[in-house]
Amino acid sequence: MQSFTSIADSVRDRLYRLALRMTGDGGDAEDVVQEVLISSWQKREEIVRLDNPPAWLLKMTHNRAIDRLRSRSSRSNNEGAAAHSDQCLETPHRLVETEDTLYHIHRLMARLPAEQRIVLHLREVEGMSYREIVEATGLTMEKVKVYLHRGRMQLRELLLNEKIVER
Amino acid sequence: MNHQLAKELMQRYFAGETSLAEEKELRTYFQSENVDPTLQPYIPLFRYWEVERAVVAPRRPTKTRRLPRILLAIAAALLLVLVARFAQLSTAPAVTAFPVAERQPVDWSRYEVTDEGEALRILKAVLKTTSEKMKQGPAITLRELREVEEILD
Repeated sequence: MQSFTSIADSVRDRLYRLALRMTGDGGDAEDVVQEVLISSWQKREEIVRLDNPPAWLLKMTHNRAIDRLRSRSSRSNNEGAAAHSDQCLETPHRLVETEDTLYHIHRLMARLPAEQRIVLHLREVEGMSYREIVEATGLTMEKVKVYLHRGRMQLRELLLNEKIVER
Repeated sequence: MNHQLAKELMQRYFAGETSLAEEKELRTYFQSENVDPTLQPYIPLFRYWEVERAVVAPRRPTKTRRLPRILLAIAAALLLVLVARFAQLSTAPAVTAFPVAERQPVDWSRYEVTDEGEALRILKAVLKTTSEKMKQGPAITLRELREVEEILD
């Protein structure tokens, strides 16, 4: 059985990436991960006995990020995470300014509906199976498949509309 | 992977029908330099996923992990100083007014205190000195700890 610390160390970057993709803000993402790890530490003995502790931690991160988006939304009545993602300064795309195309795709991703974006992220970036995505998001298997399909198609459409990809 | 298979996989990829293994093959294919011209426009998309995978959480040292180490180091240093000090006191030659017996036997009866008041005064002085010495160690420790707390605050 792995210790909680080693589990947390191994999954920390994945939690951060998910939180960053959901909140669109590096600082918020760090806070979300910190909150998840602190609250999980209090239940560490139960967590290490789970079949898939990383999936549970991802689910916690997903839920916590949604809470943060809701509180942010109610506070400032903003337009949602998509708009914030464009302003995110900590994305690799800001750092690699020469890669305009990647930044363009990043902006297109931010325009996708949140759930499609999350499912796409978990599949494409984290390489998670459908079952793991179900566990992490609480969505049904059917919805995960639909969101993935729609997400990819919409991304493709967006790429086509933006003329990044030729028809 | 040949180009035809790649094209078929891309069709299934956008339909959401590829397995994780097939998607891994696609990633490898798009990382290679030999991508079919009709599929080349999708290279940035797969490159984008690669860049996203490279994002890591910022590593920031936390004070909570360093604080105990600093305190432990200070406490260890203080302990070492105290031990060294006591060791020095116990091994140092005693400065005394009494004659040191070397070759001639000493007639200790000459120095015996016979007056009860004098004996009580000497006893009080000895106890006072002992008490002061005993308090010195903890007092130094407390003072050092207070200084450490002030620095940390």
